[in-house]
Amino acid sequence: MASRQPVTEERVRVRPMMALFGLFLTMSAALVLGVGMAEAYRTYPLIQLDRLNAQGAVVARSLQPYIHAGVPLDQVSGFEPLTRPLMSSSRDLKSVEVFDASEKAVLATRKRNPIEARREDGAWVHRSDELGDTFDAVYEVSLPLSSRFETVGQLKLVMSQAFVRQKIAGTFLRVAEASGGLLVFCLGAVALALRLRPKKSRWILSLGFSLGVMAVSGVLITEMVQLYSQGIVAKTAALAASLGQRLQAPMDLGLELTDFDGLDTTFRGYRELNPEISGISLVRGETVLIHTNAAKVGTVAEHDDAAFEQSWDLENPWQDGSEALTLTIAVPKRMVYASLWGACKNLLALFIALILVSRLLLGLLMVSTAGAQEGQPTTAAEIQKIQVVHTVTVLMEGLCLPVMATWLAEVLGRQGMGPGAVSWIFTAFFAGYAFILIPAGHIARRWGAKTTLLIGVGCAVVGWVGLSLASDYYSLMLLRALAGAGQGLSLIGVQTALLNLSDPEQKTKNLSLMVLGYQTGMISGTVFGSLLALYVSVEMVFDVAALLGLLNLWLGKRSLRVTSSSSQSADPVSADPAPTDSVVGGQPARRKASWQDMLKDRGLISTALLIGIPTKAVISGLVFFGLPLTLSRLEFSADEIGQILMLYSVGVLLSNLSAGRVVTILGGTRRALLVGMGLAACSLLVLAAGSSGSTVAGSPPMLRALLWVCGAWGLGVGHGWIHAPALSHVAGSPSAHRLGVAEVSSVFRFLERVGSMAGPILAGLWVGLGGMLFGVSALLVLMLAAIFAVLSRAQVGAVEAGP
Amino acid sequence: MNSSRLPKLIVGLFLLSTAAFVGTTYQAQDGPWVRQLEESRKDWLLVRRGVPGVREVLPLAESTRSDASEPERILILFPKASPAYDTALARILRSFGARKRWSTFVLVYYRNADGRMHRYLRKAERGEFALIFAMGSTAARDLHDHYRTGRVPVVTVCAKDPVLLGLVDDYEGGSKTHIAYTSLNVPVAGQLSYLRRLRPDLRQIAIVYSKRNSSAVRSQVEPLRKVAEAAGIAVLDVAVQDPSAARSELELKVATATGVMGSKDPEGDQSVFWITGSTAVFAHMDVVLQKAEGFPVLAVTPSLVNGGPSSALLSIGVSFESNAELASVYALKILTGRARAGDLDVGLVMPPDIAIDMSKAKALGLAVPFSLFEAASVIYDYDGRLVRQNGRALPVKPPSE
Repeated sequence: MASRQPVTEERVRVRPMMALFGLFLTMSAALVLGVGMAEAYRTYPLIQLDRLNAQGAVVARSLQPYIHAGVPLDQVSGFEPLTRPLMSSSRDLKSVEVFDASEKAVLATRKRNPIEARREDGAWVHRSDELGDTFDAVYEVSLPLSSRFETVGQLKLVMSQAFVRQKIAGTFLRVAEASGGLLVFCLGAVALALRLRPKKSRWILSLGFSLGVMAVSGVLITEMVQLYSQGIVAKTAALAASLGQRLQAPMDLGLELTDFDGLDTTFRGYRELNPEISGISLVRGETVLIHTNAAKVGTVAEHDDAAFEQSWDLENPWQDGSEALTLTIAVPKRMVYASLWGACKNLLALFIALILVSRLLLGLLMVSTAGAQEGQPTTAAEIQKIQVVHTVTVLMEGLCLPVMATWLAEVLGRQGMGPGAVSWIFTAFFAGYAFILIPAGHIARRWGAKTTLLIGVGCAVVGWVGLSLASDYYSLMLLRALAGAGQGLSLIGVQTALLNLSDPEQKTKNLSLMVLGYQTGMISGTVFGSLLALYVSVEMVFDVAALLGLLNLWLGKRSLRVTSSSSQSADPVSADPAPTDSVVGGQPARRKASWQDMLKDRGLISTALLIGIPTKAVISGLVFFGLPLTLSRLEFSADEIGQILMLYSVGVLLSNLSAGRVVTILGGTRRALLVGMGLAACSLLVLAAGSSGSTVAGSPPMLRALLWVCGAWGLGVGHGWIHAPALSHVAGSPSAHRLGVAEVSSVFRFLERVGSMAGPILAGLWVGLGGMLFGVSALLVLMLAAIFAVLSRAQVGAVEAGP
Repeated sequence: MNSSRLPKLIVGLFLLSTAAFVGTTYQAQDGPWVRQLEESRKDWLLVRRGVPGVREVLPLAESTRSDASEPERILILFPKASPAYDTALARILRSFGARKRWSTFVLVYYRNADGRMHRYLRKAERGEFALIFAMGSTAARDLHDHYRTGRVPVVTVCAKDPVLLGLVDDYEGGSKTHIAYTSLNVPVAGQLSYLRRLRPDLRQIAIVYSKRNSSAVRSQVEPLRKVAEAAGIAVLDVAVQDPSAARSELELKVATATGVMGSKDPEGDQSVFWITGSTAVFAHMDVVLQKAEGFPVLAVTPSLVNGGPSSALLSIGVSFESNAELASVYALKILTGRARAGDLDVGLVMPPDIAIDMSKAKALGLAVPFSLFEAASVIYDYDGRLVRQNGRALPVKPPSE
């Protein structure tokens, strides 16, 4: 939880605060619009292509009689009159062409494109270009033309991308205009609220930010509904035309449709080919003659409000006064929402990430613009800046997590290596992280917290830059080890700085900021990275991470001025990522720790071997390595993988906040650890169910999604109830009393890193098992928890330390 | 007469009569055993080269190949003269012409002249021909027996089902020789499935055929009987024993079959008459239709659906044109190196050629399956007018009053 800085005598400067807040809100709104627009560019063209496909089927069917009769394609007459109505009604259609088997164009109807060009004298003129101008990219749908014996050619329909872009751009222009108005209103309201209630500024800014982003999202979703609806209506009309053409054929020969049977079978077959159709009906007058829902046959035709309906009137060439026949195709309106679901998920994930980031930045904003009070604002500002630098450093890593495992598998797969090789690269990261912790304390003492932090960030940047350039196995391993070392150094630098800046009574709270910063960076990083990966290459994502790192490095160098708190001695801090002595009553180290003494401590060893190491192994091996690979094989997209990882991190974050309360309620850290392990095991079983073939095949997508969501969330919650309680548990062990909490905690943390390193290796051995990997892991976790339960029950005293 | 001149006279007469005999024989063998149909005359020319029993078909258009090499030569073996073969030849020529493949075709007629067939097969082995068409079931059998191990690829055309004829084991997988087979028949399982589309609850089929048409019995009647009975469908024989008395036999036997089927199927929606490819039956379709009394009469041969009073309701079969088109496709695949003859599955025309007479359907009160309508190449309307041919709609006049 972010610390609240005292503002009793601070003058909140509204104008600079509002300026920065407005900038941040606008950037966030722009990001939301950007995600929405990118999603529209991803989905809307597909709807248009489906429409084009249906229209193409109409043209292809018209050519079929010629093909059936063996008429060479270049001798087909009447192609232009056949295609002219289609070209006239579809503004975005540029050409309809037929190619023979040797890919030579034999028939074509093309639209002249008026393009404005500027003459040398500055006047605008119209210039017509044939198809093939270089200004306009196109979409192309190709349908095979086949006789009974062979494919005789291709029918190609070409659609201008410019019209699709115009349509989307027009929509988003309206969204941008509406959003601009909303943002102005929001800023005005926030400014007014700040003047009226300056003491509630943080709360006002947070609420204003949340509401502003939600309002923009609401406008965006509304317009996207309209856009997609129009697309689906056009597609439905094309489907109706396609089927209508088939029904018109006997009528054109003077035959009655009622002299044929099996039309219901034809309708059902058409629906199977186009599963988005909810119903097809043939109506004469008011009466339903044929319907895909047999119960409606013979009833009066009714309009379905829950569907987009498009009708096609069948023409009676003899116009003999018989009632008209109308074919109606219905596509449910929920198809629009299904198309939008991807966008909504991404926007929700983005919203969560933005809220987390906003808390950080708003905190920085608050302390930066508050009137200086001697000492405190400066320290608070430094702490906030350190938090920002730390969060961004972690965010860099989070950016690439959704795609790292899959990308490595592809790169190494091209070199003939399997998933096992990928796991070693993941291990290299954690090895770099673990081993740098040993000299990191010394580095921090010698060169100071800021330098240590910046060296760490620099190493991470080099790691990312190198990843986008290297592809051989050993280089990749080295670069990841470097990135891991960078993260470790950064962590130590941040920890040292926070400890240097904190008063003794603030240490714990400030150290807990590290957890918050880590989770914020990880959550927002995975969200941003997964969204970015949809639209750019993976190497570009690495470059963005590197760029972010460079910016972070520059900002850190310029803005950080890490000084010690005046109330504290300038003792250097050891390479100890754990809470210091003051956390547990200020017991300093009594003597140098000896490994032999620690190895004799059953409590410490059992906690490390049965809880700490397995938990870290599950995190590194399953969450960050096995899960993305498995999800990728189950054809989850990058954004979905990022969202599931985000859920895990959110689970950790929220349960971490409640860990203290849980320990109190359960009566001790031992029970909290057992509950955490149990929950983690159950969640792994749920994940196993979600990825097993028998569950996946035939179960509705919602069920599968639910399994993954619950599994990831539950695992995060379970781990959140393990992290801090495990440290507290060992801090209360007999070794800690004898040898010092700092030493024991640091050894424990180091042992945990063994799990981090081993996790990917073990997962890499079993990743081919798919869902079984999670199932086997669940059983192992349960087994280890059971052993821990037995062993820890026999231990006396210290393991029941409270928070 | 001087006695010394008599021997010379006798010898002279002998030589003259021999020459006349030989000349007559040659003339008989070199008679019009093949006709070039009108549709191919725009692009091809049928010529005699002075060799008995041999014709050449030359392209009138220039070859589109960029090199100046001679057009490839293709051998077509005719075991007999037949209008069906003329139709097939015309379609082959049209198919090659449409794809701008201006080959030279050498047509060899070898009825009662097996030596000629072997001679040209030897020429083929020497590289004079790029491909051989075997025209008809007899030629297919002859090449299977005498040329199965040859080098030059062979494609059969206008030949009956090679699996039923014992020339190849299965429809799929190819012959594994250098012969690619096509079939003039629809596989009976496929035929039955089409019959079941028309009559989903089909329980009885009355097969009408001539006992003396062994080819039809072997390739159509017996296979259909076997498949139908395996599917629990009763098969009634309406067999003409004596073609010269076909009319009277059909009057009696069709009526008997109608009675039998009617007793088990009073509604008439579980039974059909099935006319096989027997000339003795074709000529008396009016009798069959009259005595069938409300049961639908279906046929193998497309020509039996003609919109007239003696028209069948529906035919499901393979036309000579369709089979020849398929054989051309196979030949072109082989000539262009896209396939090997022995790897090609038995060429089946699927979907088969379907012809429907809607006037008969209307008269029987029978609703035609829409899927059959969409697949049909030929359709006659309620007045028996042709409204769709070769899959293309023809201009339609308003219905008559």
